[in-house]
Amino acid sequence: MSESTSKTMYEELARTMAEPSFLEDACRVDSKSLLKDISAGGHRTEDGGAFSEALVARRAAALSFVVSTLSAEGGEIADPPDTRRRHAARLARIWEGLAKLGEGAPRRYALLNASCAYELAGYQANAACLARSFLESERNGGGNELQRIAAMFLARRFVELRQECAGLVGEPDYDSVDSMPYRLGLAAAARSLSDIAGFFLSGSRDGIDVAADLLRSAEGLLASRGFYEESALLYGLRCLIGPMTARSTWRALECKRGRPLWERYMMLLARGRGGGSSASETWPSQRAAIDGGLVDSDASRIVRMPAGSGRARVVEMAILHALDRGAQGTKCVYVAPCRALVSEAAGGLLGVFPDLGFGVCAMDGAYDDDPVEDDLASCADILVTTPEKLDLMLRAHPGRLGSAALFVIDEGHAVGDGGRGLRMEMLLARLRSRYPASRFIVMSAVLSDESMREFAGWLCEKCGEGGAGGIIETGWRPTARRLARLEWPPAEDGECALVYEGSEEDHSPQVRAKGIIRSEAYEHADPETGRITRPSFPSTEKGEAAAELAFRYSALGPVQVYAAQPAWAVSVALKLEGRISLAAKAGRDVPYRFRTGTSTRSRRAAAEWVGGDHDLTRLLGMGIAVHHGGMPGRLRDAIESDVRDGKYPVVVSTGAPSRATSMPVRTLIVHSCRSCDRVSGRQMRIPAHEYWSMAGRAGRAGRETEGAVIHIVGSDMDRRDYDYYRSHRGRLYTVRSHAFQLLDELAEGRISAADLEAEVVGYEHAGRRPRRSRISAADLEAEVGCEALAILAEEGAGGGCEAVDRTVSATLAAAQAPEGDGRIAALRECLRGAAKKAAEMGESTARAYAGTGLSVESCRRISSYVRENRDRIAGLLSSGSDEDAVGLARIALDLADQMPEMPHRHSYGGDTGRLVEMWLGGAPAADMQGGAGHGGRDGAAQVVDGITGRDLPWAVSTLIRIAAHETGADPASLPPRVRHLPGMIKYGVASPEASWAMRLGVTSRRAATAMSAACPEGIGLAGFASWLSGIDEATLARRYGAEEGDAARIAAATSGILPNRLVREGRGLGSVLETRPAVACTGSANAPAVGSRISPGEPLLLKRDYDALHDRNAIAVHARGTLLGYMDRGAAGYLAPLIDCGTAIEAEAAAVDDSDARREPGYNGIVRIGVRMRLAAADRPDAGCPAQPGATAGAAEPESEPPLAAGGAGLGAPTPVAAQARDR
Amino acid sequence: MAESTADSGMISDILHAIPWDRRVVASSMIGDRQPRGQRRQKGRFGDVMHAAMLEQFDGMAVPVRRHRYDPSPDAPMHGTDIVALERNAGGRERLVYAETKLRTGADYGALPDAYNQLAEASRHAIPAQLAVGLAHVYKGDRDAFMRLLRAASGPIPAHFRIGAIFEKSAWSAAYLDRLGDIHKVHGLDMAVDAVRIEDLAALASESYRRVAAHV
Repeated sequence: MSESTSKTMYEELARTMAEPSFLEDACRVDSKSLLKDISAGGHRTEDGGAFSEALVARRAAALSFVVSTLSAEGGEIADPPDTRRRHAARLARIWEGLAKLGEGAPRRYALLNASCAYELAGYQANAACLARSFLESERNGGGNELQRIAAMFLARRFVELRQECAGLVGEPDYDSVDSMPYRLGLAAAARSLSDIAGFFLSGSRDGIDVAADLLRSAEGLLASRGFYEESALLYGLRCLIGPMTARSTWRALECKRGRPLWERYMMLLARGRGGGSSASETWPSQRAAIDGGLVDSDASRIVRMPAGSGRARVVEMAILHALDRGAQGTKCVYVAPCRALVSEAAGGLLGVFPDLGFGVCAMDGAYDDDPVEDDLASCADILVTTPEKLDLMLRAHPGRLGSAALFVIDEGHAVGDGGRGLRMEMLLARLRSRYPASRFIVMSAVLSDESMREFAGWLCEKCGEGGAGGIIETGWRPTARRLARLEWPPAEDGECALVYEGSEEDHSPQVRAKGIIRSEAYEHADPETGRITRPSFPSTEKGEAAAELAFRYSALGPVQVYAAQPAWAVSVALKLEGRISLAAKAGRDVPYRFRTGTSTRSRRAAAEWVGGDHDLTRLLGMGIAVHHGGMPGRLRDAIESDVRDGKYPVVVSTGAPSRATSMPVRTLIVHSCRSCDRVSGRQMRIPAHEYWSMAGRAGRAGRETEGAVIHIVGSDMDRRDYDYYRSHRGRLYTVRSHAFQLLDELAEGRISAADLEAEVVGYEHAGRRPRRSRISAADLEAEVGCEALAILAEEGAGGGCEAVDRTVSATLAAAQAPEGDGRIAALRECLRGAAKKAAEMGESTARAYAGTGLSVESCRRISSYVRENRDRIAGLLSSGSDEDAVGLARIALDLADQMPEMPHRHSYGGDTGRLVEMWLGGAPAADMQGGAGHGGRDGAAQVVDGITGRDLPWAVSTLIRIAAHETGADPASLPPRVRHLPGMIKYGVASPEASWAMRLGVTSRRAATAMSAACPEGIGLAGFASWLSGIDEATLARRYGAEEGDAARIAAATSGILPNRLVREGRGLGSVLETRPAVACTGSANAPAVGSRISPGEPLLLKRDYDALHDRNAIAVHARGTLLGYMDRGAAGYLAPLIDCGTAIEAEAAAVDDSDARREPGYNGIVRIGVRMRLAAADRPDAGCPAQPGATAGAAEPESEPPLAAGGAGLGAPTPVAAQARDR
Repeated sequence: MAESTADSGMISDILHAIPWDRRVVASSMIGDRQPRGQRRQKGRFGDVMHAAMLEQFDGMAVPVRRHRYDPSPDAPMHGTDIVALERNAGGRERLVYAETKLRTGADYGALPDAYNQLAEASRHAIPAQLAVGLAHVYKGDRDAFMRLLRAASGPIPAHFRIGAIFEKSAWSAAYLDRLGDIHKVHGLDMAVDAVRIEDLAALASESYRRVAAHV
């Protein structure tokens, strides 16, 4: 395209896109489609006027052609690319709207056009979302094969696409072809798209140009025969090739080409996770991070990215960079502020890194020290943990992170938090002091520019420009977000207005719709009396409006209703239940989503914790989740997990958890935004940055193309709040070091030096004590030295003041203070004094105390008790019986009574010994709440949860640590039931193995106990993981009573403990092909019989099994049309990504071992077959795989046939012994 | 008709990449282009004739000649019979969408059918045809493309034509009156090319005989 043509086309495009008539029509399509979604026609727009969808479609078609052509041929000559992308995004919204309306163009055509336009605009997740929507609707009819493969391409189902295309390219039965031109065009398109998909899977550009030419030919052929829609679609796809390949991960990470680890990583992304869409391209936010030096530098970075904008991939790349560059044993640590985020982050990392040969371990909770976590931490390459666990690790096992190369701090703005900020800041300071060469990456969505600069100055001094070179910032979001208000109660005419605010960015005007919600009568007869009643819903009450809105919007995707106080949250949920109930009574349709009644993890947890007859449990059964801080933590965890998995159409939550957790939804409804301040008791508006941080979760990338925030305005105060948040959109959070805030207050005389010392050392253990409560002198003395203890434990007593000085100079306070500021000296003196006092107790005692996470005074109380009861404690420590374990736990619980750090014990007035017995015996938590004092059933459940989940495991591990120190016992040689007692209590099971099962993803205590009874004895955690991973889903459920979803969780967790050894060792493909893995013929009923008849040299068919829940890399081995079994996990884990990405491998039987079957005929006798493998044709052009290091066209014959491995029983898993040897 | 039967090199290009049986494919493609039933033959003849009329009498270009090859019985094709490019007296280009009806016997419903098909196409099918038409013009004549783009992306409605090709004895002026009644409802920007030809059926047969000989 010539420059003048390009310029003219740009001008024409810009002129038309800015034309008022076009903009108006486009906005009408937008609003009409939006309202159609939620109102089923029962609405009217106030700005509605006559317009022709057909005309809009016609103009959109012309403009889409121009944008496509310019993207493919226009270069960057006449118009900034961002302008073109904005136009493409606008057109995408028009096509999406037309598709919803079904006007102006066929729905399927409009949907695929929208997908192509989003792709051009750089919104790949939206493109994939609409393409998936097409595929889902296509199952119910409509569309043709060509549109289907195009949709698969746009949905990035590359592996599936190549399989589908292989069938279309092959020679057809000519007699059955209805239309040869169409069939030929389809074949050409299939071949072309398959080759382009090959690029994304393997990075090989060979054939891309040929594929584009072939696509052009197919497009021409179809156009010449009148297949307009298909031809236009192929034109659109052809224009995408350039932009898509330019954004591909292979191109974005070009600098990593030739590095086997990175190439494998890109293959893993490209093949997709769990059979889902490929992550073949980088998002603008991720490219900004790469351009900002994420993967070509070791310097620290401060990253500001909105929620849901691809932060997980950024973290993955940073970790891979560190592991790739680091020596053997390099560790990376990901710190997330709460359990939900730890779980979410670990889930993402487990999806990738085990297949790269790296172990991933998640550790959440507080200061309970479980020896299993030590094992996990020492084996894992990547630790995902809470700040408390990391703090404990540094205190108790200072050498454990010996070669940590990277620390990722998620939600880094928590440093400024009043509750945990000081602890976070000191932890970071200690890490910086101890690991000066390590890289720190601080992630946040809300840090202000000023804070970004200060953080950069604090952590990125190596980047130059005062650290400014270390800043990575992007505001790009993968989905649009609309803000709306519902004016409530209705006006005199009975109709309320829903007002969508306009946006200058995408020229969308304000849309004011009336009649979306109106009060309706639900007439029905009372089943008992027969009397007719006509209750109306919603009334003028705001809670009912929220419930009605949630009911309507849940049709579009998950809804979160935000209520500022727990009682309001429960009230809204009950009103929604009432609404559903009214509809059912009145004989109206109740959407399926509200009558699932399925057993979910959270519903089971609710039945256990608050009882089956509790409102919360009943609501969960109707698809309504309630989530607030007054619920047991374990129940909250389960709800968060289920909400993330899309199990609930509506979640009603309060502030604190929704701020701290990740529960992405489609629509956020703000019922109220003023919560009660604990200190003043006043209703306080939540800060703007928290409001918008919460709003940022509306709109899930890849699941919908836009999210919505609907604020209910029911009073003048609501209106003021709404206006405040609207005018403070984008308001970010300026973090001020909490220590610095204290220093300021000290300087201003608002607090005393003693208060300061108390603040520095007496952080908020339980997160409950209001900041500023006065601490008595005794408390102050008791807590002195907690941070100093940590420093001494890490540095040794010899470090002393020098270590304290180094730590203080590594704080954010030091970075924020002007040079020579005397207030930093005050902080330094405060800590020095505490360190001196701690040092007086001796190094070994200081180390033992530091490892508890408690104050010195609490530790001294325990020491004193142990000394007084030395013989009894020594006996309990060495016993290992169930009774003595319970006895130890009882003592710990009694001691907890004296520790201010463990507040839950105070609230429990029942028999603690009975509590411990019942809990470890597997009794439902709801049965143990008798002595839990006031607060009703919810409060009681929370107390029991606090005791069993936090305080008791912490108290027990503290008691064991101090008792071992006082009695001179070696903690490592204590009986297993004593060593693992904290873990057993945490999970409520009576054996170490059962606690491991729970840790590895089993959600039922009963199932975990059954597994612990069945597993081989004395196998250790790795052996247990290996044993567990070899059990298929059906057996897990049938034999052990595992719940739905446990198999997938177990597979993920065990993969983190048992990463792929072949990859870890850096083995080449040729070497792996020579391993001749054994397959046990247990895959089907007649597999043993078929296997025993197979002769060496007989061909075997290797087939990927994408549906196997037990192993995402499962490779099924077939012979004579029968599924023999599954290839050994190690070899399968290595080969599966390569097979997915185009490597073809042939196999034949190497040796057959049926001696076992002869010895033990029947089901128990296992026939094993060795699998000899070779590349099908290493040089075949359509294999589409890059050369693998060490690959050979055919594996060299070994001199003699190796004996078959003993592994392969069950689903091809290695035996526990083999696995143990492998992993240890 | 003979010209429209000739395939371009693109089929050859495709067969170079897709290793199918060339002989079978070629035979099948030509077979597809030659409707076997007399009714379809007449319909095709009418399309070709109307396209030729638009080219020769109205000076239009016909970048896309539609021939009926439905993907499957369940997925009938959308779109009009002909998409033509017209330059009007003001020098502005626009795309013209035409539907043709050829009848050798009396048929009161033919023109209303054509009109309804155009109305339906105007609601749904035009965007895809427009995109393909633009692509053709873009490839062949950049200046025309730019002029067309200005017209196509502006608020100008599409122009529609009906080709009413009737054997002289089968024609009735009342057909147009009936069309007028429907037109009042939909109001498309439309014109009718009414053609009356003696011995139309024989003409169509003779044309197909010659095409077969040519092929």
